[in-house]
Amino acid sequence: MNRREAAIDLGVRAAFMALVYLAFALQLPNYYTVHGIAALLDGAVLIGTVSIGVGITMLAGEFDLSVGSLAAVTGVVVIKMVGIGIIPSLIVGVLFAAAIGALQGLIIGVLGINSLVFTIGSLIGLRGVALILSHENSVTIPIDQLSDTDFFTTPLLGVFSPLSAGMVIVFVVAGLFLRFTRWGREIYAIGGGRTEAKAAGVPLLRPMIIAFTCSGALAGLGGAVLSLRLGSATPLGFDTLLLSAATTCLMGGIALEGGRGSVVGIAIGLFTLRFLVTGVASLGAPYYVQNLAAGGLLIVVVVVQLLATRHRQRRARMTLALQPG
Amino acid sequence: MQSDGAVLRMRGISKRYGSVTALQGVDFSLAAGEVMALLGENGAGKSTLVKILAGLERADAGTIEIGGVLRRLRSPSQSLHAGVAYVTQELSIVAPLSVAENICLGSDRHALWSRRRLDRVVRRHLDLVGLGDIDSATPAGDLSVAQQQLVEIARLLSRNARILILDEPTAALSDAEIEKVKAVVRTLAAEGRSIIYVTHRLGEVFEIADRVTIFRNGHSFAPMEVKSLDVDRLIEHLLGRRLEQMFPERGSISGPVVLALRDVTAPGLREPVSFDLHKGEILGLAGQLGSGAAAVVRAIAGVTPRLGGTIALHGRPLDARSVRNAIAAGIAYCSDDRKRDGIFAVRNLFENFTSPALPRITVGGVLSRGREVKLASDLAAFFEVARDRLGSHAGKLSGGNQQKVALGKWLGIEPSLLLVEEPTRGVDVGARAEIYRHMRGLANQGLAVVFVSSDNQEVLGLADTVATFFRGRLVRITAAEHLKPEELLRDVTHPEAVAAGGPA
Repeated sequence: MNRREAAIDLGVRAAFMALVYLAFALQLPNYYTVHGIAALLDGAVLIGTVSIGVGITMLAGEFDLSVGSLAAVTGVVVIKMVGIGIIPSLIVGVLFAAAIGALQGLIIGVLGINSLVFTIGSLIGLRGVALILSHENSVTIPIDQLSDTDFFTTPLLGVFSPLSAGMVIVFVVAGLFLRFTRWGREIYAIGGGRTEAKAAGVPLLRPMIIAFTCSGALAGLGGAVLSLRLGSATPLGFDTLLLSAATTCLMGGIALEGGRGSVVGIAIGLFTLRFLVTGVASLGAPYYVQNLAAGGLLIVVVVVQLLATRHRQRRARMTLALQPG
Repeated sequence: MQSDGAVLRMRGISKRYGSVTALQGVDFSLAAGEVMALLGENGAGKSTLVKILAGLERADAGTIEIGGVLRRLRSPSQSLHAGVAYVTQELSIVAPLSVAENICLGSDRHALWSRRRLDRVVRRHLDLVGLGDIDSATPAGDLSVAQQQLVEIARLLSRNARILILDEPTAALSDAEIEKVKAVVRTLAAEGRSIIYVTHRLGEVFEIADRVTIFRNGHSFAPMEVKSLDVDRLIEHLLGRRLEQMFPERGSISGPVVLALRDVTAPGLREPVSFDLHKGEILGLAGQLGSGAAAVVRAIAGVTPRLGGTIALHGRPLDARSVRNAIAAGIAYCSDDRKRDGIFAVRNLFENFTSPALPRITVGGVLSRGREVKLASDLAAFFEVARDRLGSHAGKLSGGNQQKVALGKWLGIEPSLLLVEEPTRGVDVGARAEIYRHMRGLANQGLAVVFVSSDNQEVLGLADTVATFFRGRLVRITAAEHLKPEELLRDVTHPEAVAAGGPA
């Protein structure tokens, strides 16, 4: 895929997102009021943040299945530590999740183990940790501290709350990191051609650890923020988070085999899904319609993408074959 | 060589792949500022040696000293830190990354990779290799293989290493591009860097190398000054003593035409190819990697699309769009990647031998154990695979026995045409003779056989008829009996010398 084709790919996805938006905006006034858009953004924060992390591991040609459990553990940790203050406990929680992620990256990188296999283990194991830490019960913020978390959703600037502004910052930082730093490009390199990257002299362990640290930290951030906002965390929470995040990445054109895709794509995938799911819910449709719609949409996008790739490859192969040499 | 001038000294390097010995106690050294050519037939061990130096493979025994310091080179990044940079035959270009990013990949010099900054860093290297007009932000996967090869050489330039390895850097390049590469090599040597240049092209040795080390069957010979050699002497050293008894006697070919190609074009061929193949004939397609020899059999086998011309099998047009079609038409094809395409490594030999012929051993849709055992035993008996090995996994066998399985299983479909790529790659010398005998035996039974080989001895010894290929075109077709080794070597390495009126 050359630069033009990559731009067209993103353009088509963005146009599709706009189409979904328009389809619902015609019937739902809260799709274009400041308050409505702010709510849409706030609703996208958890999945958006975690999707970036999952997307980064996918770019590295790996997969982190443990994000849901890690979000739950971090939520419990943060709520239990909230006595030290909202922001300090948030920071500790994210550092904890980042450390777990780094450890996973280290083990996967050193042992050369398949990350799907390994993170199925940590998916289950971390859920156990959440249950231990919470004594198998929901944990809650003390009543007198509850109002301390209101600032998360008070409007900050236009449609942005501190929460959604934070997500935008995560997107921008991740995008710049992946696009313009050596470490970011090495993540693409090990995903786009592991043996080639190794032969070129990339130490495989470094991008591996960075990728899993990112997905761990962002899963922790998502889990911590949502738990603080709700004032409670349950050890069994976030069980559908992984699927939503993976759906977002696939909708946004992150290649499952690694090396291809961008943060802009993840953003487009995120909002395509949010517009659809929120819209269906706002229209009062039953819950199963949301599932049907999201699942159907993903399948359509993936199939169209596959057909486009096939077409392009066939064309490329023919021109290559007809070239002298 | 004087000991103080050596930047690299490798001693007693040995390497085995399974049961195959690739290197046996090889010593090798390199002086500062010299261009050392490595020559040898395929499988002679020269690529293995440079891979060990590049950190891509680990030696089983031996020591490596760089600049007088003992080094352990366990990964490409360690070799890079020790001052070794290389370009190998297998590209190390990451397709989704840009040209500039690929050049900088693996270097620790810059943390921020903006398009402008990288372009500034790589521009002069791209200019030097003749890619000056390429946008360095293009994804490298969009370039042709030749251009990617040049990008690798640009990466080599950017590395600032003392020892540079070029492993057949010109295999995929055009003449104009080859000139650029040679100029780059000369510049680098003039800067005092040492270059190891692996090649099959004898002409290049005389043009750029100071010394040449010849490899044969995993051993290296003492380096020779290029100035003291001419092409004929070099060829003599390269071929060594021929192993006459390796090859079975030829038969006489008088059968009808089995396979007829007319003006066939396919991916990898620059010019159309035509030839006839008779019943009982063995045709050897000789050529180096990328010469187009393999492209011909792949087009016949339906692996790659035929782009033009006609292929007739027994006088009827054959249009194999897939390997499945070709098998149905009675064509058996053994690829050169035995581990991937030739055997089911973790299945036993009963299953391996019978895998292409399941209908034959099935009764009413159910596999018949009796028929399976019978067919596998017959094939094993023919190929002299010990019967008590039939229960073991194919992956556990030696290379030679694996190749017998890869070949033998096809007899189950009772083919009329057998296509084999590199029949003895990774096969011990002893087992080679057996493989040759079996292939001849099949031809004597009436099979038409086409094999592709970059091993010239094998082509001369086994084939009835030889077709030589060079860079995507058929050079000539001739009876093997009348072909001299020197002529064959010239045909597949630099036939221009013949065309220009050199001794043929």
